Amino acid sequence: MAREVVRRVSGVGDLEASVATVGCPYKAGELASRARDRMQRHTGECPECRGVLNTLRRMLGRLGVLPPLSGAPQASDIAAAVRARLPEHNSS
Amino acid sequence: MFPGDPDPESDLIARARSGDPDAFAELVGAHADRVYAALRRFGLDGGEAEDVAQEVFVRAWRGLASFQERAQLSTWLYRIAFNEAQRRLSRRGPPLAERDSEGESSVEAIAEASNLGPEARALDSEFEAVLERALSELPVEWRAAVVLRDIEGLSTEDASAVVGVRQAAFKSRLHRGRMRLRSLLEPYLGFEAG
Repeated sequence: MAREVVRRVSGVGDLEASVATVGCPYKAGELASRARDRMQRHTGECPECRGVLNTLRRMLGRLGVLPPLSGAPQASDIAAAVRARLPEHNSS
Repeated sequence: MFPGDPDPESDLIARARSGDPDAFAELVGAHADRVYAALRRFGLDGGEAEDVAQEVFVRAWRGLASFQERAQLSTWLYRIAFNEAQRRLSRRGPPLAERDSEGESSVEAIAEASNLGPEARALDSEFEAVLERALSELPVEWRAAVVLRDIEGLSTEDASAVVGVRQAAFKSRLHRGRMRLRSLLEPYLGFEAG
């Protein structure tokens, strides 16, 4: 449902990929300004689309600040393991 | 660093290209966290991601001569990582069904199994677990688009180059991935709105 709503709002098939970034500080400027204006006008009047965009904005904000994964190895351990697989430096 | 100072990474790359494995190991240390995290989020488990991360860097070492310095080293590493992850994932056979026999997605199952109430759902660590699980439920191509663009922060141009598709195709995958993810997370995102 949400996808159809956003698709209808954008009215521009190719630009719909950017619709999800409207208002997102991380992706500012990605949407062409005319489409963005049209979207902003519509979401000012349509609570359903405004809700979709608000949750998208919130989700993108969280994705951009995800912490390191639990259980990740130390970068230094990976570096040491890789180093052990490389040949010695022959500087002569 | 001051203007005019040499970029330390460029210096390490130059030394690595001349055959200095210690310089390359420094580069590995600087990029290992991001490569490992991307591999996990592309769909590999912890052990696989650790193995493949090493393989990514060994391949990068062997291919340093072909690295174009006008590109970011991190973008080049993501590309190798993406290709290695696809190779590993393709050996697994068809993906498991996204929904169990009762039609419940694993994102929903997390909430039920943990008996999470709305307040618990709002906790950062719980939400992050749900988000990671929801991400893992996306089709591989959509997931990679979201990982590269929205988590790793690559530009659309760089991210589409990493996965080897045109920008229009990449944007389509990204949009679909975002919308599916939003749909999976809607109950949690709604509660967060307060």
